[in-house]
Amino acid sequence: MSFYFAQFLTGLASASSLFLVASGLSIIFGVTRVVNFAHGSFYMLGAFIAYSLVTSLPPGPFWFWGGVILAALTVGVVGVIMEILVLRRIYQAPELFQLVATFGVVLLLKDVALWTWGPEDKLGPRAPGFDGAIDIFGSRVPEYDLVVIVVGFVVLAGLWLLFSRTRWGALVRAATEDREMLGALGINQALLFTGVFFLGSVLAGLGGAMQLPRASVSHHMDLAIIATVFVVVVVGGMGSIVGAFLASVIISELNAFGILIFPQITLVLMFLVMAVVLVIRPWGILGRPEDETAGEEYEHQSLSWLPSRAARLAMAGVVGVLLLLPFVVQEFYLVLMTEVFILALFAASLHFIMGNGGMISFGHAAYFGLGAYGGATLLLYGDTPMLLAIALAPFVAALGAAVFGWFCVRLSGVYMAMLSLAFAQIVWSIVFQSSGITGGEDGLVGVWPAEWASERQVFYYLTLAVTLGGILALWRMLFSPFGYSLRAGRDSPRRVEAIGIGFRTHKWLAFVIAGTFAGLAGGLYGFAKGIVTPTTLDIPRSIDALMMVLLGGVQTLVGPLVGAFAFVVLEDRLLAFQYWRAIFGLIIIGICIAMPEGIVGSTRSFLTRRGLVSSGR
Amino acid sequence: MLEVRGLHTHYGRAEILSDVSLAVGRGEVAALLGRNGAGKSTTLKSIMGLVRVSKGEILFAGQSIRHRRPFEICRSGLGYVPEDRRIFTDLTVEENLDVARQPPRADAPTWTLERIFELFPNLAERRGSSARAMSGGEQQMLTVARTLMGNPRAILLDEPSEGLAPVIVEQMARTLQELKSAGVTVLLSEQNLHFAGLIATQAIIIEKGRIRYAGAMEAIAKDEALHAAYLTV
Ligand SMILES: Nc1ncnc2c1ncn2[C@@H]1O[C@H](COP(=O)(O)OP(=O)(O)OP(=O)(O)O)[C@@H](O)[C@H]1O
Ligand SMILES: [Mg+2]
Repeated sequence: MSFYFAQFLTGLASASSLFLVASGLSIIFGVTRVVNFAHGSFYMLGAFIAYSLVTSLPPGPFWFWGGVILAALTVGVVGVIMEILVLRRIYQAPELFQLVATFGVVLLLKDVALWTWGPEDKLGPRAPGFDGAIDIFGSRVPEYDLVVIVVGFVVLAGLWLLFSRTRWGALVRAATEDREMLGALGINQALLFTGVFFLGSVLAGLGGAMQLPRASVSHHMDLAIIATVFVVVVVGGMGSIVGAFLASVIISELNAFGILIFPQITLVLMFLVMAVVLVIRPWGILGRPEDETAGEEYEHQSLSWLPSRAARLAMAGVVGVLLLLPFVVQEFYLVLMTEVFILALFAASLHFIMGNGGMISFGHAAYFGLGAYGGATLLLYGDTPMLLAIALAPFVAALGAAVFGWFCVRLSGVYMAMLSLAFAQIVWSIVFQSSGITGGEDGLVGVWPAEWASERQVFYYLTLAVTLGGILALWRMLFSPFGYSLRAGRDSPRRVEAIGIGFRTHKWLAFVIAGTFAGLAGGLYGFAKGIVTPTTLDIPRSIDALMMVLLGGVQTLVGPLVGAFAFVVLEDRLLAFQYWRAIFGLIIIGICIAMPEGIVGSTRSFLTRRGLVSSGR
Repeated sequence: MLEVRGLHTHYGRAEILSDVSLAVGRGEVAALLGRNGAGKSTTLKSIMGLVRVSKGEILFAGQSIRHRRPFEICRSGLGYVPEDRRIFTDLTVEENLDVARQPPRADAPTWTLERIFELFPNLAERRGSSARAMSGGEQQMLTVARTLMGNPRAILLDEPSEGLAPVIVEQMARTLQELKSAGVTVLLSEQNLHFAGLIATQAIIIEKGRIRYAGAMEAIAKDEALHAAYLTV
């Protein structure tokens, strides 16, 4: 019995530190409607800064806690800087841009941390005065865990007082409801937003700093926590502090006890909880329903996407050039172009749901990776011939997309984005942990093409044929009745629902189709690389897909293809630099701020303004 | 006090306001009349900086406010009461008033919670309760009261009588009379001619985004031809 109580306390301590971080994200979202991807980075930064402060300040409890608080405040300032420099410029943009721009900040901060603290993990000191363990009903519980629990409750109470008893709190609640009206009543939104960002970032920083005596500080803390925090916030209800607390407790306790019973599948448990909650209450335990249309604020052009005759001729020309390429360029460029084709199909599959369904998936890599692993396991364990493996890979992905998509299409906007990311992260963890089958971190090696396709040129043509076929199939569907009703539904979900089309079923189908083609791309990718590692389905890979779509332009047909090309070339150049992530992050931020229409969209707008092409989009 | 010259406003490509000009003198109550969709709300929102204006000039107390943001416009002494109430339902009545509080102004009446509760006795009774739980009439009173907390020199009122029971409409009219006698300038958007007649001295008629008529309220009240052309449905 006492053992279970001790386990309960351990779970509560984890819940407490998770709550600190999640409440910050929730507060920021509630007011500004921005899902701050960099929130996990703030958490990591809090831990690193606390490490530096605590190890350089004099010993003793005063300086220890002083260091922790100072670290949290410093992170608050970083949050404010990000808000002022980046987000203020894009509050009006579709939420996708905010998410992606804050991911740019993630990359930037990752390299800042690497540059400042070096690549090694840091082990901080114990908290002075709380470095032992105490006896509770015969089980030993670390004293510091109790401190963390107390801090969690104190912060919960403090936030509750702040929001329910102060004018600032009332302003924040009012802004959550109707910020435009608040502006018309004389409240300077910009200042309020900055204040909210400060508070939210301080909480993330505090969460990180408080971890110092509990675990070593590592460079993986940022993305490791963000997925869990997303789950907490989605389950608890966006913008609800108490909801975040409840969800933190549920998920952490589930982990604490789940690990005793099924050590392998705690993640699956988390998934189940999330699934149950979202089916019963799609807006989370204490969240409130969003306006269905709120998340879909793209400026929808009349969708005369159908390429003009000239455009079709140009495309045929490009394909012609690609066919001749192996005769003129070196192998290196063929390898590069093979990757471009694969990623173009991957991006086009994401574009299929984003541009048409208005669905933002932040976990599209899951289906790419499932395809890659599917193909590779079939080859390695089943001795399946390459072509058959590539042909079957999409079905593995489709299965995953069918299950996860069923939940995702029930949500909209940022909820869907966060949920899809959480699913992808779960797939990633399962793959990472099942090292018996998947090779764990090292991945599956020896995924080479069949003898007949082992020549670079042959594989190049094979990839070109398959990806071109895939892309054309996707386009074909875009201009079928299915594609039209999908777009109609994106533009006004209620109307389509009203005329009796099962729009949700449509979205689900689209999601599965997108997953299938991502899987096809993934299947090819394994053979192109010869190796399949967990990076084929990690968060950065999902963001890569988004980047390609954005880079090219969401509201264009060829955008994803141009985006994939630009992306691969860019990455190839950047990888030469040690701090390429920072550069890449800055580029992402720059695109979100300066070129929200992407390369193709911006070029077209430019040409249209110059009167060089007709304005018919 | 408030002057609009040659205002054009677009929603997307559609021109909603076209060359709208109007002027309201200090302490005057002017009614902007027109049918559904005539552009009354859009005019008020354009003045308040809530929608982007494509062309024209807006002067408040002699200063151009066209390029200012809503919160700056409010702070310069122009209050706004929206048509769909937009009270903060998560907040209590008192909190709703409190968030809109601005420092006192030398040239405008100063409103404290006490004075507001004198003017709106119903709100006083419910000061601690959630704004969500109030009746439509009470919510409408709250939106007006909330705007007053900013100590405005002038207010834009968007259809304050809409959807209210006749008794409440009378009460609203009395409230606005009191504002008028306190020297607050009012630009009122209305479809209810009777209500407008109770308080307004000037009438401005808008139809399809254009100003069709401006003159004394009394003259309009009698002019049947004008009613038929622009006001009756
Ligand atoms: N957000 C919007 N986007 C596009 N068109 C709009 C929008 N809001 C209003 N309109 C159109 O602008 C025109 C003027 O609308 P407005 O709300 O100003 O009218 P109104 O005179 O206030 O009408 P009501 O008496 O119904 O409140 C209407 O034709 C309306 O359809
Ligand atoms: Mg109106």
